[in-house]
Amino acid sequence: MDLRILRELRDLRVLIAHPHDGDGDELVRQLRRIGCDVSHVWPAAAKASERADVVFFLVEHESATHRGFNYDDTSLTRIAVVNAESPLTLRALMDARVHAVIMKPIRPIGILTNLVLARALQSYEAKLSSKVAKLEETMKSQRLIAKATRIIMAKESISENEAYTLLRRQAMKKRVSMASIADAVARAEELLEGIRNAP
Amino acid sequence: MQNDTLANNRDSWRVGILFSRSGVMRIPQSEHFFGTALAIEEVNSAGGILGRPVEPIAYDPGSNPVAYRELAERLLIDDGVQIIFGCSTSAERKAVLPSIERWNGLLWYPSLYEGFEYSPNIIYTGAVPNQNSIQLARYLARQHGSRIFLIGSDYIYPRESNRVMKELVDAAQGEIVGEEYFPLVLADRSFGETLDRLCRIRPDAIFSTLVGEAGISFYRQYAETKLFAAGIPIASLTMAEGELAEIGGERAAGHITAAPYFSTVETPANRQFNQRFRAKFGESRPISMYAEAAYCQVHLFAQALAACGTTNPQVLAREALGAEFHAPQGLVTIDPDNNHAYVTPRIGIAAADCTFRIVHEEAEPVKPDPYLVSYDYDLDGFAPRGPGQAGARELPA
Repeated sequence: MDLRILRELRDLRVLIAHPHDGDGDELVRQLRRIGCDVSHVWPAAAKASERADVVFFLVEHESATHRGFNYDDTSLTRIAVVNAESPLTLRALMDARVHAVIMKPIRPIGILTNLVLARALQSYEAKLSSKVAKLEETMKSQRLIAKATRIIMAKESISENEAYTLLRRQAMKKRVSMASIADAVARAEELLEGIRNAP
Repeated sequence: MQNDTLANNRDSWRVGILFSRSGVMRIPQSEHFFGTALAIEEVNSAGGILGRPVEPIAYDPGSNPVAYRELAERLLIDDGVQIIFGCSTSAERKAVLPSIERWNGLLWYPSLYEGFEYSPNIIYTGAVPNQNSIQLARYLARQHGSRIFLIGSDYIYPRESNRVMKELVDAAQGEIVGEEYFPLVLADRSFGETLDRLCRIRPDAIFSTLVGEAGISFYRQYAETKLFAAGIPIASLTMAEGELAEIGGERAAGHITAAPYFSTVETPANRQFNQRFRAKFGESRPISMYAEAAYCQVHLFAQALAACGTTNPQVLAREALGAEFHAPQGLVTIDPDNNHAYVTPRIGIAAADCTFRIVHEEAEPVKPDPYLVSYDYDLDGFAPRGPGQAGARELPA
């Protein structure tokens, strides 16, 4: 049973971007009961989310109320507070790429569940994003290495394995990645091509 | 508001009582009932509240959660009652919670439970895990060792209590050497296979969250084993004086319970409570944490009502939050942060006369922390993260 997310709840910095009214206060009290470090701001300020792990923010028909939060920030858990299911509200929720939604009026029951699920979802999303970024980087390197290998094979009339070994040795000697050596080889070849083909 | 008018236009304060006098939970809940009845009688014989007596309307839900919800709705809708003293298990409380919120009542819940709940329409006067499990785990680790066997009824309270116990045992570098669950209503009450397994494993202690008749059967059968003869204890958060009487003193002696109250607590308030309870219900009626918490919460209610003069749940709850009562266990305060109670954790060892010898008590009432999930502690401190905890003192053995 993985309770890591539950264990970390009391280390969370939670920002509540909601008017100082009954719903806002109820949300603050329940999150404090849970044991989070809570700050409550209104009007919503994008800067305030910089130090937060989780933001609960009011989403109304106009997205203006939550404009400014960085929806691409994979380390920020976003939970929307809404009081309508109108098309414009739904669109604003999708734009904000929220991890959970709680409905007004605020009831204490359900907040912990949404907080935990949102954390789980956000951490999974962050893990996937970083994996995708790494895979893209690897694919790019592989393409460069393959290209450079082909160039060296043709130039030196050696086998693919030998060309690859040459590249790797060079990378180790210069203490750089194989991808950057391969990139240098490919660029040099392009340059030479350009000179050769010049009229 | 309509209900408020209905109840207040009468010449009494009508309140609902929902404790089971029948079914598997009849032992603790009868004690809840007697504690409630004694307190109401005390309030009324002192002239009532603002000159009007408290008039109880009591139903017996027969230990069936569905009946709890139906009877809670009957109290709230048909009887026009807003205040209910009732429920003992989490299954019962969770069954009535939506109705209590929907029809705007105020439930006073006197039993221990596993935490992770807050409703503005409920006041919780029993212990949560930071007020009993932590103290019990520490006591077991120090006195008996950390190879613990878990046995429980199969519902939310045992499952969650065992989760807490596992974390505490892990943190003490101990080991869970077994974990078994049984249906709440047990047709075949033979624990033969489990007892055989226990004898083979030979844990340092058994942590039991079996409730009702299953728990009593288990303790009785355990008394026939060589483990009982060897002094390996069963530890519990629920086995109180009433259960000891049912098991039989000789067969229960030596087992351990963690609770805020035992009938042997030495406070002036408890001496009076014992005398009054015995005078009303007889010498042989067990006095337990179930009676005491139920007694205490009626007095807290009466104080709050005297101060605000209305049974409107929001007004009354606001008055009750922060309220103090010098209960038999010591000072009990309702925590305004979470509607739960500051109580005094204690550890008792069952004696052959069906009372508990208190071997540990905290120096001060401990703040309730119903949402505690992180048990960062060591054997000396068990300091949970979150609200500050009071120190403890060991009593002479």
